[in-house]
Amino acid sequence: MSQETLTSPVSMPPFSFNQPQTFELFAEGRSWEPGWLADYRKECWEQFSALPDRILKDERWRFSPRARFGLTKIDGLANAKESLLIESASTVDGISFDLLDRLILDQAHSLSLLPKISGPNLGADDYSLLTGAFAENGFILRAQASTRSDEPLIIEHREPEAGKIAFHHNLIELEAHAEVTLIEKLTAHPDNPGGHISNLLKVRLGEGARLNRVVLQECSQSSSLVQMENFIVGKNANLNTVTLHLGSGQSRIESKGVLQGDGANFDYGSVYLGKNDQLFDQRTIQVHEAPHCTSNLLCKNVLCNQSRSIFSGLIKVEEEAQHTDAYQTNRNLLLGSEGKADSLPGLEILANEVKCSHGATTSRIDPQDLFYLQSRGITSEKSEKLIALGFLNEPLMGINDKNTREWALQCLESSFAS
Amino acid sequence: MNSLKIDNLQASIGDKSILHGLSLEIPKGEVHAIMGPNGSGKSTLAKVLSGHPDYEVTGGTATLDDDSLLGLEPDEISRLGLFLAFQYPMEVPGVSIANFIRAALNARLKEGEKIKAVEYYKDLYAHMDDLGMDRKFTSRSLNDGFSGGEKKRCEILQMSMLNPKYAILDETDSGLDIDALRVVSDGVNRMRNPERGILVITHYQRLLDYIVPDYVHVMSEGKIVRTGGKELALELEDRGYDWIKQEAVAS
Repeated sequence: MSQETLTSPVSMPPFSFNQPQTFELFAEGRSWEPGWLADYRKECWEQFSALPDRILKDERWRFSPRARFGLTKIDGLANAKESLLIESASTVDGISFDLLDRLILDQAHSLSLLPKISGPNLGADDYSLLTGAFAENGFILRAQASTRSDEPLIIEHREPEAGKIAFHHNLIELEAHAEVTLIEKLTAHPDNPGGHISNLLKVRLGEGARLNRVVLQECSQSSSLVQMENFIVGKNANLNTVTLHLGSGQSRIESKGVLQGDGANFDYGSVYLGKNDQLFDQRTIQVHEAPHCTSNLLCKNVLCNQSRSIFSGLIKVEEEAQHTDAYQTNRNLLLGSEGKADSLPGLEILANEVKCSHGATTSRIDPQDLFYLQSRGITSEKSEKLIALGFLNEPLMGINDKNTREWALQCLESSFAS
Repeated sequence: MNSLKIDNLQASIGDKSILHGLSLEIPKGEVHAIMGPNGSGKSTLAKVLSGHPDYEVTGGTATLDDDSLLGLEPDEISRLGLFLAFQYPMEVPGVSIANFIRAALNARLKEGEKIKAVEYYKDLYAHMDDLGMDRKFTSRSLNDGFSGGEKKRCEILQMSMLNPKYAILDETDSGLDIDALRVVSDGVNRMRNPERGILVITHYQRLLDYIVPDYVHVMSEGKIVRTGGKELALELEDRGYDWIKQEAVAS
């Protein structure tokens, strides 16, 4: 059906999220879905349609050339069946790892949490709502209490062909004391790059649960990515997420970690290697709602050529969240003279017994360090790469699984070599 | 021809002239020591020969065997066969010693050649054993959080792995206790051979009890002002540097 609509230029106006019929046609085509899901899509669409025009002074987009995430560049929806692939499935009873489009028909109840958790709402409301309205796929990972998967589960998000957008609405729900390791790979389109991915992820960890998540993003230089994550961490639960961004022309990353139960722990690391005119726009918030929680965020960026990064992070400690330990660090290293890094760290503390710190630095390679490496016979270009690689090493050390950690280091190393 | 030869070398940093026509020849197979008071230009000489970008050479020549060193990049000089052991080695977080030395060895390979991991580690461990270094050091970040002694051992480890034709040791004894000094000196002594020239720069005679030089040069005001055998070091220890300075001025 979608083939027909795309190839009949006379009867159909060009694809646009500004037109009501874009959603109407989509909804008609999915009339077989359960009513609650249809209602949810409609609600998202209506909220999206009611969004005010993008205003110039939106604090949540400070420093960002927002036009690079414009919706008008999108000329259609990606084939949902092709944009997401389970590479390594669950073999453990009680841990299900499946795709939204397969679950909608016969296990729609397993998706019922999706509408109940909101997005991170850190600025990309348009993408978040459109994902709610149009997502035909997503991964759904659910683990019953006290289950444990020793082998990592692996999912691949594939960049769609140029101009198309893939909306993925994803859910991770670990019940009490479950433990899972998940690897998400975002890969480039092999022969027609330039697609868009909008990923909305909602995570809820029950008491004592543990999630280790590693994301490797290697989309094409002409693609766009909007990644929105909302992590809700329950009592004594542990969430460890490390992301390695190597590709994509422009990425907007919105991550929210909510420490909801006593003693919860949230570790967030990200590494970004920017080349050419890539843009990396990252917004984070660590919300401490319960006492005795710890959160540790470490974001490191290396900017080559004319690439740029924006980091905006907030630690918010609610009044009840006594004995909080919260840290937020953003470090940027500029290679060459044309890169740019903006950093906006922030704290908002309402409790009085807390340990919080934030720090942001932007630096260049120290010429004395460079001389030291060169004096061993390594060319200045290779020396710079070695130093930059070392600089980015730290967040990757947060990956618990040794094999996964070495794999991530190798991916980073080969990206430097290219 | 088979020597590190410096002739009438003049160099400055910014507006400040530091080397004022220094001449020195270190043939292969010999160990020379340069001693001298603070500020005499000892470390500047080491850096200029190694191609440090902060210094400008304003006159003279420096050749390694037949190749001129002046105007070359530090990495080119290193690959020609000159090694500088730093007085204050830099700390480079996230770069492991093993990867660093491998990168340095890789830089010396011809196109198409490759380092075999098994042989590399065998070699590396053997050298580490000689220096009494724990093998866990291979995965530690280069000099990051190292003690003074650990840094100097790491310098000697790099030197022995890179097997240079000439080595300059810049104040290698600074910050070392007597045990570390012995280990580091043993490491240097193991590298003494007829195919290698070594220049030891030091402020104190103490190091020369362990690394016994063939010649001792005294440097003052950017020049070599006196040359003698190892007994000159003892004389300096006794009398200090002032008499040499005065003699230099008088002449």
